[in-house]
Amino acid sequence: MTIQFTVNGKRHRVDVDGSETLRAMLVRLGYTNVRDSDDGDGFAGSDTIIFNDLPVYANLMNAVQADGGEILTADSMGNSRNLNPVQRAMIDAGVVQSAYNAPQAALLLTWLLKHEPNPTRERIKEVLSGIFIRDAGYEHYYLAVQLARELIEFGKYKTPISPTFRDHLTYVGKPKGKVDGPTLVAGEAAFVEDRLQAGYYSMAILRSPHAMAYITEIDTAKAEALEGVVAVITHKNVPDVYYMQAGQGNPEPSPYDRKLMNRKVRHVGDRVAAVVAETIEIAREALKLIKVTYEVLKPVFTVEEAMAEGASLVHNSVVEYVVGAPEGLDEYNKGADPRDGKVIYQFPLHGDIRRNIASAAHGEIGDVEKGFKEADLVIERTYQTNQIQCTPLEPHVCYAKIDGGRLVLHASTQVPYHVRRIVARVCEIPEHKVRVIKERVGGGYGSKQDILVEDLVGYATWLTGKPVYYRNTREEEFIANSTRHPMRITMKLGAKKDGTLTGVYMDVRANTGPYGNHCLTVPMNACSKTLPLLKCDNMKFDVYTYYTNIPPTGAYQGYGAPKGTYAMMTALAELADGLGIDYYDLVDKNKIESGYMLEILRGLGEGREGKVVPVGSCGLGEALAKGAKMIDWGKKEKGPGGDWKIGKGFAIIQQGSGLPGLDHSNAWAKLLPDGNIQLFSGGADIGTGLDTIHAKIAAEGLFVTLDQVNVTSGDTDSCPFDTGAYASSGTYFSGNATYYAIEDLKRNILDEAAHQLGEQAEDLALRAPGEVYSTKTGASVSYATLGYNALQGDGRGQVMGKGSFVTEHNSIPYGAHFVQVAVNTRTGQIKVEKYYALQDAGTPINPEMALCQMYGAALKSIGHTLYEDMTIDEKGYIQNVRLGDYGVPMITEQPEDFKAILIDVDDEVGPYGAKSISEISTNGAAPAIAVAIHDAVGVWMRSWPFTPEKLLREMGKL
Amino acid sequence: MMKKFLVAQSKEEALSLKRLHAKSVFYAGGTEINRLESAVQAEVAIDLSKLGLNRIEEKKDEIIIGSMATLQTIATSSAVPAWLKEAALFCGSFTRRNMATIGGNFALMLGRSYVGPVLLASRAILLIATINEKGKYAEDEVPACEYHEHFASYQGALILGFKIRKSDRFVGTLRFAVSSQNRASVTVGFGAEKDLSKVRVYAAVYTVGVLRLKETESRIEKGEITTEEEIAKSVAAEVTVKSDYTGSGEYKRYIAGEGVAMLYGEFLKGGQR
Repeated sequence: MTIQFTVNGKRHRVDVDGSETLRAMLVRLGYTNVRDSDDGDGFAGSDTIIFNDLPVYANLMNAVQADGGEILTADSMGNSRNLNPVQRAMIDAGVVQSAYNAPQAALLLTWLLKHEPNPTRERIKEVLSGIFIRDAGYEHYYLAVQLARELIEFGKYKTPISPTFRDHLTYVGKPKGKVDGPTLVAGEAAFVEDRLQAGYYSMAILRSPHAMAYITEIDTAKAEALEGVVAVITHKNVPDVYYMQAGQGNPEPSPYDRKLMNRKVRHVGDRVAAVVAETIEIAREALKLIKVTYEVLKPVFTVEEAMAEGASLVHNSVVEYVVGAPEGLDEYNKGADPRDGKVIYQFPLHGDIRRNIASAAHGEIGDVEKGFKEADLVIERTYQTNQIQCTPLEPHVCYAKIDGGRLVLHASTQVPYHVRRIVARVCEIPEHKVRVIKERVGGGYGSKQDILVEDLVGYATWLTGKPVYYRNTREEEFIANSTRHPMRITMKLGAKKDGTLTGVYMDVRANTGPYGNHCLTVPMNACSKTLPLLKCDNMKFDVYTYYTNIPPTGAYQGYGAPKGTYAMMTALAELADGLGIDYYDLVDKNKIESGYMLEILRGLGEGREGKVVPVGSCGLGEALAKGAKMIDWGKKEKGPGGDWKIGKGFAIIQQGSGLPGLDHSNAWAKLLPDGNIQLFSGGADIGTGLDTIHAKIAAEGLFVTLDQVNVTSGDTDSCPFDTGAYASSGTYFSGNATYYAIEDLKRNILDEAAHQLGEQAEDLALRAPGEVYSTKTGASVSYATLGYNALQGDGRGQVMGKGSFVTEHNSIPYGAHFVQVAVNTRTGQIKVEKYYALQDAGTPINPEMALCQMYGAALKSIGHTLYEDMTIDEKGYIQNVRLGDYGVPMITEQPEDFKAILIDVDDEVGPYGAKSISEISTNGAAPAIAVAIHDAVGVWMRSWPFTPEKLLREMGKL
Repeated sequence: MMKKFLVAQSKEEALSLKRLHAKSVFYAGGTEINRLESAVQAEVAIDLSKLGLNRIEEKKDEIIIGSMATLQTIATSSAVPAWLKEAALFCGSFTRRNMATIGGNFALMLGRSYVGPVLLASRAILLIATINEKGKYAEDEVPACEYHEHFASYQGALILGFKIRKSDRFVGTLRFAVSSQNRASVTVGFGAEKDLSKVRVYAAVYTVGVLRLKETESRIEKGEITTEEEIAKSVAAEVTVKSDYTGSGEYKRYIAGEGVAMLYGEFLKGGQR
């Protein structure tokens, strides 16, 4: 039938057959920013449109329903050059970050303000209740509405956006918006899916229905014969190349334990075959024609099952070492099954795959047993954490093509240079044959630190010569993606009666799942981001990571720190309880302070010996004291009565700022002939505002405005190397590389100016608005003149600067998170009423975005603590693979009293005193809530998530 | 997967189309039918949007709510009783509430139903239309419990609306989920007259469906169980459950029992909804 309707005022007349969703039709018509992040689950809101003046999900409507209707999409608002007040205010409030849903949020709020110019907080919450924001949280959306109202009414803001830092600086420490914000909030082309060109091919993947099995036969003949199919890839025809998918520094502290496809499948959802075809429909049809016979094996899912005598071996492989092979390796390999392939360690990780151990690490300072003997009280407690999903709104996606004989990948990645290296390896081509263009990233949270789709898409493209597009379904995001390692952590603590710690022991048993991505580093972070919080002479840790058959694990914002912090801080609270002293007093007594030598770091290098350094800039004490005052620590609140009980808790936290001694960042900058600056950074902006940080550092150093700086980042062809956006490295490492590139550029500008002015460089200085002047003669030359003259026939060449950054210095961000909960003793419900996140980020270069990242990460970790859980059945299937089943915090889950506070500390090494910000915010919720629950109802929650059912069991109600 | 989308121009046409197409379904808001891995298996959608069934009408003794009234309309209508608004708001997404309808949500009788337990507990009357084999159109009033009990036999019927009596009957509902938009393990509805007669106890249990707990109703009416503790035990013993990711069977039994008991406690306090 033919239907008629308008979209953004434009009339359309379209033939539809009744099988198409409204979203599919809108995308077909070119309204591509009506996006999809839940495969039509009606949950996340990326498909939000206004239909006949009401917000609806386009995925949940049939196209026929559009007949006679009026539709507004994000394009109905302003474009990036002409934003409407809501779009402008959202950028300025800091909520436009990875921004996959930013246009839809702007559309909702624009609609709201049209109908209600002065909406209440409750009404804003209601209107945003159907949209999922993972990165920035929701708190600053209220601010955005306030700012938009002020823009509409007064033409300017009256409400302060955020605190500011460093009065002597113009851009650093000030809320100045996000350089890519206008494009993102307007919904303009920015993501991988926006780069597709007509004629691309699609890939679909056949996945294992078994948790562990050998593929005994695979028949692809019928699939290959299907018209439109160009390639079928299986374990039989992939390159004989072992690698791993973790995007880590090279050589990696993870074993090479897989090929593109393996003869042995190791989890439900593991790759069995991939089909490249002219359309996704043909590719999916072809998958049905592939016949596979399996020899099914008994799987192991938990650490305990993996450890058990006689347990099935996930990798009964031949083990090789690139360096450091132990004695007796030939004997060790006699028991290997050739069908399992190889496990290649780049250097020893103390794994023992015949016991399912992928890696292990141990360390000690002092004598922990002696410490326990000296203690008046020793406690030992075990805590269990679960498997959770990163849930980026934009699933893992890649579009690759051959251009100029080279493989070009448009990727949504945190690690473009690791993508290049690994794709080159699996394709068996040199790195210069591969170009990776990092597009805007619609959410990463660690999962896009791993090369989960680019390897196969890159290979399929190189193999076929066709442009190939692949995007995970939401289900594939759950079953074939990086998730958080489940861990069992046993804490043993000893202390004197006055609370002085005498011994701390941490035993970490981590579950890496089928492959060893980050198998050493994530579990070690459970120790390395927690033990250095404490002043104790006797500390010891043992870390073991086990292979199992759960869906893959890997990097997740915070790495192992949220789990380690949960165990350590909850155990400290249990220790205080046992000693009969206040938990706050015990923590205050034992926490580190500036200058304290962190001896424990010696054993906490990531696969190498760590360096002992003193605590540097540290806002921990201030965060702790201020938070305690805010929450009124020690005062018992009455609450509403009845079955509801009130409790308070807190945790001290730390993270890192990149990986000293391992990470490496580079940048270069050039002066253009019109006096503007072009900056090239290897750093990957994943929505966090890293490009804005680069621009601010350049503008600040060169005395130019932000819009005089253009930042190109994450393109492996034009930008220099950077290890990538992970381990909280962006601001500190990539930002510092830019800082040094700008310092170099400044020197070279002065040198060129000295040449052009005929003066000595030491007599010259830079000043606004972008010029060089002589302190001796008063002469001046603008950057435009300088840049132009340098490029004339008699010029000395383009004025450029380059910088790189490595360090052994630890600029550790610290903080304390405080919480007040209400617990219902009858239903087990837990409400987080108050949440105060206090953190020292050094100089927050983008303070408004920093606050939003604190809100986002803290709320995310509240979700992890209370309900997020990948529930696996006895066969290895994840039962809740849809966002609506899995459940994530929406605006309605946010604590009513939610505050993010930046503690002002100036770091000695970070660019303009900056340290990292967002990862640390995931560390506080679990222990703080556990302590608060105990304060409320007297039970210790020792297992994530703290569901009503678990709480009821702890209280003896079940 | 839907292959055809037909827009009915009248109630009669809607029913005729339903008879004509074997694998057809009445299409209300579409939020369940179009949803990923929908529980609704049909190839032909019969759209009801042109039938004028979205009105809420307040009369002297009753409220008539059209089956196509959206959950958002219900949540904001001054005519709708508080217990039904509360149930409408169990759908945590404003955007989805703008689409989902009371009729669609009720008719599916899913274990994650928002309005099912409370409408049943209220003793609402369904206004339905049918068409017989000779094509004769008829409208009728059917107690909600009758529709629930003989669910399969009403699959050809079109729900036009709900009639809710204005009275001092206590009606309450509670939903137990770990967050506003996670699937609920259990949603319970409890209703009773002031003299503790005509007690209705319903529970929507995830992956099971909407259940009437007749034994508990009867025991309450007979005065065999009078305390919250006794009622919780009775419900827990009677309710059918399955363990899934929303909770174990043991938890579901417990929380269904406590939920009904809490509503009963409200009733005892003189709660009048």
